[in-house]
Amino acid sequence: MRRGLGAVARVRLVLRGREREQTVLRDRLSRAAQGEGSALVLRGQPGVGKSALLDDAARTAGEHTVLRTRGVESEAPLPFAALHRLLRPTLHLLDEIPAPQALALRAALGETTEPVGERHHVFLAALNLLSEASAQHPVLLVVDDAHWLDDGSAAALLFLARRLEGERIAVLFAVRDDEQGAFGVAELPVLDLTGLEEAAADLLIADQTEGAVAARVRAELLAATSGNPLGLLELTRALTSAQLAGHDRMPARLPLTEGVERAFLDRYRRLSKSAQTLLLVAAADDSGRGRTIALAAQSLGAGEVAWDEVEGSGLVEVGDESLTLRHPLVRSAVYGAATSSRRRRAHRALADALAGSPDADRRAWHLAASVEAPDDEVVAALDDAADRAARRGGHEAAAAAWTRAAELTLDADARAVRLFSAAGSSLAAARPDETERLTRAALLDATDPLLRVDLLQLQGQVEWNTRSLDEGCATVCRAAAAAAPHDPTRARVLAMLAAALVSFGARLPDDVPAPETITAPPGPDAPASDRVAQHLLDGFVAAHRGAWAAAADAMTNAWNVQLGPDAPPLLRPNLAIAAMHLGDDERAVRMHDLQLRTARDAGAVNMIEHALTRGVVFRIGTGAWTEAVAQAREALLLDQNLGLDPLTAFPTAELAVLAALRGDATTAPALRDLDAVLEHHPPRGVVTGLVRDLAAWARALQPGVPPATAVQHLEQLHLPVIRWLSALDRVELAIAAYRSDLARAWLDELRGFAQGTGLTWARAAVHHGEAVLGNGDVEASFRAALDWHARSPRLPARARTQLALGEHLRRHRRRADARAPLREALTTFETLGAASWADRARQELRASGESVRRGEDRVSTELTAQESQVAGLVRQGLSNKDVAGRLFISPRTVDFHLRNVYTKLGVTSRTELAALPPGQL
Amino acid sequence: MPGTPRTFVGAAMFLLDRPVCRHLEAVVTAELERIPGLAVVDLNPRTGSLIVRAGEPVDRTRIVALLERLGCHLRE
Repeated sequence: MRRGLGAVARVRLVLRGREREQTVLRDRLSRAAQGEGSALVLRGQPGVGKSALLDDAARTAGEHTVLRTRGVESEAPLPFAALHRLLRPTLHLLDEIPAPQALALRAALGETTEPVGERHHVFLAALNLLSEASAQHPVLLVVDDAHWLDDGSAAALLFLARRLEGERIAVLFAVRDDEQGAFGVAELPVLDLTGLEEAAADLLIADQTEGAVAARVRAELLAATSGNPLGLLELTRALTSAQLAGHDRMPARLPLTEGVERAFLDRYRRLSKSAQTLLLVAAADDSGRGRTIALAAQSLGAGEVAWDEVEGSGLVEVGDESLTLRHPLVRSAVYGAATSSRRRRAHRALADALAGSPDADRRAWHLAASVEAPDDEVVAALDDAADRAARRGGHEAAAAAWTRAAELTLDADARAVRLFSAAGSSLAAARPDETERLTRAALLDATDPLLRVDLLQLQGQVEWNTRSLDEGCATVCRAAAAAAPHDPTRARVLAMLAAALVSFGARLPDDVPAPETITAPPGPDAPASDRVAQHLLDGFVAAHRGAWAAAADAMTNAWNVQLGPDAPPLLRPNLAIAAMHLGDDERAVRMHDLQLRTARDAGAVNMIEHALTRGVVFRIGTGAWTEAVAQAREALLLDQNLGLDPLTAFPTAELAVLAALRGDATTAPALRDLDAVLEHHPPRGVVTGLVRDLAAWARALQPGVPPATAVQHLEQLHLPVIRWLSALDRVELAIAAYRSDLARAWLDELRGFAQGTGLTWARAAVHHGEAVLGNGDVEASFRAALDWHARSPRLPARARTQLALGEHLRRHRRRADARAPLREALTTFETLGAASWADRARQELRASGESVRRGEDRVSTELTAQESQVAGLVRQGLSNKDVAGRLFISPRTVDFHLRNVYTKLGVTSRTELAALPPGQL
Repeated sequence: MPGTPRTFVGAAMFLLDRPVCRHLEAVVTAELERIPGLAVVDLNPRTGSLIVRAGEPVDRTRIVALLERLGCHLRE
């Protein structure tokens, strides 16, 4: 029998017929060396030669620093295990990257016991570290068996692979075509590896045997393996020389993977019992670490002799301190062949071998695989592993460990507590479906009332954020009702949340108590949190009924109570939401900006996204459109950069509205973007109504839409906040479409709001509407509107009234009187960058006899979204490092974009860039 | 790794890779409940979501094997 093939021999053999692929890889590497970094996924069947190509690329990488890691199936529950191996040679550069990122990375790799906080900082740290490492020599990252990467490492490497613009980094992944695990290749370029051509296959067969191989046999081998090199190798080796020569019959054909596994298994079965035990232990551990395997195998009776035997089997590679199975298919074959009791014993032996070692996580999982019944010791080990994983930001691993611990817990409530922890971690890992399943399972067990409230609240949160607003709201009501007898404050806060969801369009089924019926109002001396919750609850309920005076009173009361720092976390965001309902722009902008600052300080990505997108809504009203566009774009980039695709609909809809309000040439592409996003990532949960309304508004405003069609779009608006923002459009377009009935109804609705809340912009809009409808003295109505506008922050609406007044005066041959309001309108529209409105104001001014210079067309600079965002932040005075931190990219990529910006805009320095007028970007 | 022993008590969740018909739903439920101590809590034929509950220790791999034998493969 032949000795096992060493790694080098295998490479030489498998690399027959791979010239095309080698050229592709070489090209990637040389482009990376010139600062055109990229990632590539090699995908194919087991045994098709992915590892061999990776080895070849690493060996011939020349000037590149090669960093390698691989996914290991048994490491799935060990957070950042594969990333740690990859980065180890670069960790001496940690001082070169921003301190908070370095801290986060150290914590994630388990080098400190600090909690990680936001794990995107870990990802960014890895990127910046490698970017630093590439300063001297370009870097090649080689990641084999990416389908088995632990979830944390997979997320980090995918993050990295999407950000290689301008980096001197090439990344090569190998992934099986039949398994993907946490590693989704969707956005990465893929090179599919298929079997060898006939000529290369014949050479490979010839490499395996000294005797002649009949043409018929070669053809049969090629057909059976489709040219898969490992298959060719193993099936050829499994044949006798008589079979190869075509004298004896060939064995029955099996599917490829099964056939190769069978070939490995035949060899495994020829080994002694103790050698088989050693291989089983190696398969069960899969870390390749010789000492652990030796200790465990020894305790099961497999000693020195077994080592010698397996080394000669061709199934393993033995190093100084390592024992590695030759191919993952050896592992699956060996492990699959063992009975479950033998597997358990192997895991137990491995756990014992790891006792007292720093590998407590690995030990916990071996223990978990070794028991036949619930076991407190094992549960404690898994709890510890879960705690450690959560601290390191390994949320998937924490969820898995807590789930496993729950499965081994006898007491039902204790089990539910662990499932609740698992659910929280899976939510942090952005796996809402898993969260939902875990909470559902936990609710089967939980009897403790407050634990049930926790579970219902979490379940509701998943629903109203990522799925059905109605279902989510119903679940929150159930949580509030469950809390009411035990914790009235909690119940009140939850009822308030439910009322807020109802005010955004949630509909409750009949069997669920209405939010306002769940708790009795607190006394006047109740703690601040209780009073605020009740005021908000009253306010949201009133707003939903259209009782605006009551809503305004209640919400003002809520704002006037001072909340302590330990107030329930649900209260503050809902105080800001209340400001949205009341259209109190200045308060709302203030609250959201505070939220944004807090979120940025904490580096809390979801909160940043939340504060950005909500803040934009009010800026649409106040006319801070440049800021609004910048914030919506930042939110969108954040969503895209961090893979939060389901959130993209909201900022995209905001950008479409802003483009349509400006009425410039970007409207059509912005609406096309919106259509595409709505098709691929329809909004879910609580923002659904907002996105739907914003989209309808943007469609109504697009240039060239007949008024009747525009009105049809505007009739789709459901949420008061968007109905108020679009108040002037609604009334004016309804009149233009000869629908004065609608205009009147909409105006009545607005009047109710204006009288109830007393808000200046609302009162102004009512007078404007009355003028447009021709009620009473038109000029007086416009002037009354302008009086209110003077005290309102909504600049665009003010300019619209000035324009309308000017038009009215000019039509009544009072050209001189018309000029003043028209001039003011023009100035505002120009400042806002509202092209079509400015044109209209200019035409009117000319018609009123004033000579007006032509408007400057906004120069389309064709900056990409990323470029214009970088340019915008640099203009604000941020350093490249700060811009990088803000956009979750590396400073090198910032520099890359900035150079493109310079070229496109024809500037040569930051100072020149900062001096450009805003219209240039 | 598939096949790693995984004894559990209490609830366990499985996701089948496709919806199941009424007939298969009944067969799956009956077969699973022949395992001592095991009860099917919820099998949603439309989504393929399955929740079982074990009153005494059961190895999850045994359930997976049984499901596969009935032609129900699991989603990852």
